[in-house]
Amino acid sequence: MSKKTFNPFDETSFLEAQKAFIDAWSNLSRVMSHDDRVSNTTNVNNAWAQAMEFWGKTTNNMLPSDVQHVFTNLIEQAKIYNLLGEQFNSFINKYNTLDKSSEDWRARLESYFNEFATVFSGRGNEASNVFKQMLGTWHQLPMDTIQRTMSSTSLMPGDFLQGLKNDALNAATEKYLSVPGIGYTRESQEAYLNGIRLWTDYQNALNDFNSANSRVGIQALEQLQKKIFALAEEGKEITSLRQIYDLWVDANEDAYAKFAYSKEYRKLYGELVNRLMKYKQYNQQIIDESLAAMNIPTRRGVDTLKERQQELRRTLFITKQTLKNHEKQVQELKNKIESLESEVAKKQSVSVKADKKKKTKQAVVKKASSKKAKKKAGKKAKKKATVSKPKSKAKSRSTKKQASSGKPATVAPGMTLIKF
Amino acid sequence: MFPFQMRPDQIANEIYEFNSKLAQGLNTLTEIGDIEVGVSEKEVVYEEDKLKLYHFIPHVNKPNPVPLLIVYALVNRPYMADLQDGRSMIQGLLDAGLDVYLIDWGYPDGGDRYLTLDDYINGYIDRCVNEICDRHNLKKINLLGICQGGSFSCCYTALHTEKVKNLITTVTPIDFHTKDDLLSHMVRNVDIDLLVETVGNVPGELLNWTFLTLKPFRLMGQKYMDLVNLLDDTKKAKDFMRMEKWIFDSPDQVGEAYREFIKYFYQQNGLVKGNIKFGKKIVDLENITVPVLNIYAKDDHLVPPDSSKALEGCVGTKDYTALEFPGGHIGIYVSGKAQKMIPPSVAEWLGKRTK
Repeated sequence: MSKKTFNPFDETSFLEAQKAFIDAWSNLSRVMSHDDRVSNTTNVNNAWAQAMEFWGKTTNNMLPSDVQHVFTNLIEQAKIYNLLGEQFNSFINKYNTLDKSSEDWRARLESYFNEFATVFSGRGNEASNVFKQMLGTWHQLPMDTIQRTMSSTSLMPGDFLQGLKNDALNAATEKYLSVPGIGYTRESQEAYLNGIRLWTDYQNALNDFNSANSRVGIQALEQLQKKIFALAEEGKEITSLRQIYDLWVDANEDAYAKFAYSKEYRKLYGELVNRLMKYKQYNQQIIDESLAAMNIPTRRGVDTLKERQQELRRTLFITKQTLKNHEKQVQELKNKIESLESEVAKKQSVSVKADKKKKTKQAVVKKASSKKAKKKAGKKAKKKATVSKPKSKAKSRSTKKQASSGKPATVAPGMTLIKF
Repeated sequence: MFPFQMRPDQIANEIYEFNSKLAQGLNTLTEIGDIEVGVSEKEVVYEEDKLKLYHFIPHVNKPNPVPLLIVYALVNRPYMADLQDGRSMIQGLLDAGLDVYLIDWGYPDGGDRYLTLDDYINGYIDRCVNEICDRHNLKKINLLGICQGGSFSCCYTALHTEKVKNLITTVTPIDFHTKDDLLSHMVRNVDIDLLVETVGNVPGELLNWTFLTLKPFRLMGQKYMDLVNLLDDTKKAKDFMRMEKWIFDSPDQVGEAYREFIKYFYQQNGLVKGNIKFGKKIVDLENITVPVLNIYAKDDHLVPPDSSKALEGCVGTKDYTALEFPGGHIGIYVSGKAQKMIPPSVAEWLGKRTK
């Protein structure tokens, strides 16, 4: 048994069907030149684009999640490529009816692009839808994404009112909003009216933004026309659909950049974000009021807690850092004290040694003088014993010396030592 | 001369071939499997909240003695600097003998809602710098900022000049009011206080679309048309998917920090005007007296070259070097051209200033 797992893209029937379709379309194109017939071909081709979208949707689920969005974008681009091919096929068919040597093709191309432009010139939803069709997934401009992203914070899903945007509804809403609140529930009536007012403001901003965006499509067509004319003047040829596609992308980027860098865009974009945020904030307040009524923690309350907690963490870090610095300082001081102590101890040890040396020297000197004295005293005593009585002073000095030295006094011959 | 030199049947055939390539090439997409990112060996050396400080294992025995800390942006994920073998700025820096650290900010959630730029710059970055200084027993390290991380690195250096030896900025916005700065143009009229109070943390998805909207037809359309031609080569298709993974891997933006960045940097152009205040200190780029290497991309559609080049007139250093990369905002990290140019230039410049 083959180890290869089932893969929907191994299925070639889709490609075979496509081949048969393209062949038929191609044959049809060759034999047709009348505008109405071409228009019919276009409808058939749209059906093919729809079939391709269906195929894309069914196979997308079988792909790994990482590549699903890439696949979706590929299908979108393939659809655009098919549409572009169909449009230029139609144009070339029209060109085939012309005198090849004439310069009439410029007028034809202009009128062809003008047909596109009239579709783009519609206001409001129509323009917006045409723009979206032309751009495939590209219509998902930031605000649409904001709307989808924020839908979770709204009472209602972000896109659910898309179908209701039109001038008539705006007029009716304005009229309704002018009615003042009355009675016991006046406050809540006014709060809801305010919500509707904010929503209307946002819808108006969105319409303005989309209308301005749709002009990019028209300007891109003008740019594309200019680019084609420029190529013709330089004598360059367009030999593939991909070349046309790349020119079309360049033209769109140029037109978009011109719009995006304008003051108008900055203003419209700012208005759109700000009004959407006001509306979303209103929704949050309503939700918070309901939660508070049920004694459930509100977003506002949780935000306060988070803010305080962060402030506490900041204080904690500062305290930790201060403590760390203090510990460092204490350690430095300890080190300093230890070093001072060891210095003192060293000095003390030197001075003790010096003292000891001094004392030893003194002791030696004393010993020597004591010996001398003793010798002298012995001589005197001997003399006295033989000649006269000993002097009391001399006796007393001798006794003192004996006491201070702690050594037994040397007793002169013929004398008795008396201990007190 | 009529420029269209093609017949209807040729158009039909071209469409058929394109659709065939697409259908057959989708087979490749199913076989791609897991998409790995990050090639260089690394270890976590410090963690705090959702932040991770990585240390990449040096590729040479005696790397540059002063380590290099890469400060990534809060937008998107830092593995872009180490995407895959042969397409990694970090790999190049390691090969060139540098000792590399990287801050990964992680994915913030509601609990991080009130983190300010002061918390990021004087808090997280400072603690990471301290950690590296402690590990290497140094008082100063080298800093390399990527995009918004470059703006943060400038702020940090201006505030903690005693801890930075050399500063490198790559595709870094400094002057937020240059004529060709579409991002700045878009947010100028947005009530950013209202937006952040309403949404809290700003969804990463919203940022993605904002960036793609700068060139919507190229980035959301033409790019996928080009992919069809790569689908018969699994490796090329996988490389495309790896890049795609990075582009759409966008963490939410912490509400308070986002508010401050948009208001002070984008709307008030405070980095150039010198009136941004973190805590009690004003960020004055004039305080940056350490050597500065400023790398910008010639075709950058997110951070216009003029925005980056403005750094020269703001810093107080006498050792300023500018390097122009002939490519775009992302190409400066992942293109083959960048691998040959950026890491060796950084290593050489640092080598002269750290030995």
